[in-house]
Amino acid sequence: MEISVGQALLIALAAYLGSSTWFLGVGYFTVYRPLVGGTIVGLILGDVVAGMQLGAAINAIYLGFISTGGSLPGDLIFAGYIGTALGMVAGLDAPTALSLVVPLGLLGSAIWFFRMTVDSLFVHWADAFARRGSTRGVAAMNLWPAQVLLLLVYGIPAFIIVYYGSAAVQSVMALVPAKVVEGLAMVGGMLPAVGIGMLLSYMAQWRLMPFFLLGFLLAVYLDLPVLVIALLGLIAAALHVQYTGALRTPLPLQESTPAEGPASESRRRVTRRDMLGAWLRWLTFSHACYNYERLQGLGFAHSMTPIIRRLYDTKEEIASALKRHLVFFNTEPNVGAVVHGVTVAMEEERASGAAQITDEAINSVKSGLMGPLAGVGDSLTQGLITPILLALGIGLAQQGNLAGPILYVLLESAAIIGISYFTWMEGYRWGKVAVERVLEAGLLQPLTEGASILGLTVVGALAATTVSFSSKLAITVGPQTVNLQTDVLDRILRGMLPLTLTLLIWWMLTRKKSPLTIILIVFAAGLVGTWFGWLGWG
Amino acid sequence: MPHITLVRIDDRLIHGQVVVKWVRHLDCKEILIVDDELWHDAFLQNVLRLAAPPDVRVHVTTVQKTGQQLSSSSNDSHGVMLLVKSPQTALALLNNGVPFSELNVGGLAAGPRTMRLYKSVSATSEQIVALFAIRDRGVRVYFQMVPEERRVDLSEILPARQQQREGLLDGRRRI
Repeated sequence: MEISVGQALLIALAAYLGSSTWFLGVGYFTVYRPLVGGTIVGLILGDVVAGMQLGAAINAIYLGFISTGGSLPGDLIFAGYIGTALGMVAGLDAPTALSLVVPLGLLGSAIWFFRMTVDSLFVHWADAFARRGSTRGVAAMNLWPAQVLLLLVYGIPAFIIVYYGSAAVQSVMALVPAKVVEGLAMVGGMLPAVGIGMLLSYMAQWRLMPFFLLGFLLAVYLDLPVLVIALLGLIAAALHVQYTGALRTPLPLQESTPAEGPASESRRRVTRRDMLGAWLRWLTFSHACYNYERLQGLGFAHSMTPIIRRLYDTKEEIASALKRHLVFFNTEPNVGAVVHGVTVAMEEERASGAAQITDEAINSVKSGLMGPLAGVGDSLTQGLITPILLALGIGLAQQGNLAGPILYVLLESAAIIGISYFTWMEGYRWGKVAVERVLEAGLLQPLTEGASILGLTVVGALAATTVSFSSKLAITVGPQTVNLQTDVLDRILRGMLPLTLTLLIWWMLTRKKSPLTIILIVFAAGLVGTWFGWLGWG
Repeated sequence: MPHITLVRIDDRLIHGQVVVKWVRHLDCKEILIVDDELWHDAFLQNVLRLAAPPDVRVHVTTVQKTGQQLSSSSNDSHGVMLLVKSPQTALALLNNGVPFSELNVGGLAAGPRTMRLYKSVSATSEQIVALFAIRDRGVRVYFQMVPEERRVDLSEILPARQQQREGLLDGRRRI
C-alpha cells in the first residue's frame, strides 16, 4: 500500500490527538487505546476494517496495561497508531505486524518520560502567573506549552516512522529469511497471551479461575459471539454475588449531615455553574501538563480557577489560593474527584471566614485522601472497567464488526464521566465524610467481585480467539504418521496450547518475572520453534 | 517476627502503584504504615483501611510501637509491607531496632526546598542526608516506582554529587 504525505500527516496528527487532553478526560480511556487508534488509522488509510482488526490485535497485547503515577509500561500511541500504520502500509500480515509493536511501544515510553520531565518546567511558569494572581495565566500554562510539546514529540516521530518507515520495514523483511518471517508471525500469534497473562496477574484469583475456563470453553467449543459470552458472564457474576453472600446489606452510615452547615447571611457560595465549570476543567485537563515534579498539581489549580474567581476578590487572596493548589497532587482522576468536591466545600468555608480552614488544613485533606482514592480508582477504572470493556470491543472487532470500537468508546466514556461527576458532587455535598460514604457503601466489594467474574469470562473467551499457534510436530510410527496437534492435542482439548501458554505466562508473572523478560522468552520460543518446525501459526 | 517483604518510602502511602502493582507482585496480605502523625488521625486511618483491597489488612502505628506491632503480626508466608512517608521515619525505624536490608524509594512529592532526584521522587537536604545515613548502615537504598521498572541505586542518582553530599553533611553538622 502506498501512503501519501497527507495521510502520513493525518496519522501524525491523530497520534498527537490520541494522547492529547481534548477529549473530556476520556481520551486516555478511549482514543489512546490501540483498538480505537487502529480504527482511526484504518479510516485514514482507506481500509477501516483492516485497521480496526489490526488495532484490536495490538490492543490484546496491552490488555493488562495500567499506568499509575507516571509509570508507563509501553506507550499505546506508538504501539497502536504507528504500529497499525506501519503494518498496513508495509503490507504485513497481522501476526508479523504484532512483533513490531513491542519495540515501538518501548520507544514511545522513552518519549513519555522525556515529556513528563520537560513538563515540570511549565509548572514554574504557572507559578509566576499564580504570584500575580492571574487565574487565566495558570489555566493557559496548564494547557498550551505541554500540548505544543506533545504535538512535536509525538507528531514528528510519528510522521517520520509512518512515511519513511514502511519502506524500510519492507526492505528489511525482504532480507530476512522466510523462516524468520514465519517465526515473527508465530511470535505475533503468541504475544496476546502476555497481555492476557498481565491482566490475570491482577484480576485473577485461583478461586475465580473456573470463570476464565468457562469463557474459554464457550468460545472454543460453542463458538459463541463475544457479546453473548459477556452476557453469560454477567449472569454468572450476578448469581455468584447473590449466592455467596458477597452482597451484604450496606453498613448503616453514621448519621451525618451534608457539609453545608447553617446557612448564614455572610456565607460565600459557589454557584452550580461554577461547580460544573470546575468539574469540566478537571475532567478534561487533569493530565494536560502531567509532569514528574508535581504530577496533576497544575491540573488541580486549573480546575479550581472558577471556584477561586467566585470566592475571592483581592489579587492577594487569589494569588494565595492559586499557590495553595499548585502543590504536588496525584490521584486517579475520576474516583479521586471526590477530593475536589471536598476541597471546594472547604474553600467556601475559608472564604466565609472560618479561621480553622488554614492552608495546612486544606493541604492535609488533599494529600491524605489522594493516595487511598488513587488505589481504589486505579483498581476500578484501569483494572476492571477498561480491560473488561476492551476485551468485549476487541472480541467484536475481530469479527470485523465496527460496533467493537464504537460500543467500547460509548460504554467506557459513560462509565468514566459518570463516576467523575458522581464523586465530585458527593465530595462537595458531604465534605470529607463523602469519602467514607463512597468507600463504605458496601457496594465496592461485591462490585469488584462481580466485575472480576464478568471480566475473567470475557478474557477467557479472548484467550481462545486471540492467542493462536499450534504444533506442527508429527511422529511417524511405522506406516502411520501421528500429527501431534490434530491427532492428539485437539482430541484432548481444543486450544490447549494457547490456554497453556496464557496460564504459564500468568504463573511466570506471579513468580515475579518481568513482562519484558517474558516477551523476550516468547520471541525466542516463537523463532526457535518455527525454525525447527515444531510450531506453526494458526 | 513476620517476614518484611518491602520497606517503601512513599508519601502517598496506599495508592495506585501500591494497590495495583506492589500488593499483587508481592502477594501481600498485610500493610503496616508507620507514621506518628497519622496515628492520631482516626478519619484518615479509616479511609486507608477502606481503600486497601479487601484481602489486605492495614495497620497504622508509630515508630516506637512498630517492633511491638510487628511481633503481633501473623507469621504467615505472605509477610508484611512497611510504608513510611519520609526517609527520616525509615531512619528512625532503624534506630528503633526494626532491621531491614533494602529500602525502596517510591515517591516523595516536590515542594519548596526540594531537589528532584528521580522521576516522582524529590527530597529536601534533610531527607537526602537521612537516605545516605540509611545507606551507611548497610541498607541497599534504591529508587523504583513499580515492580516492572529497573531498580536504580542511590549511588547511581547521586554519585558525582558527592561534593554536594559533603555540603549537605556539613549542613547537618551545623544544625
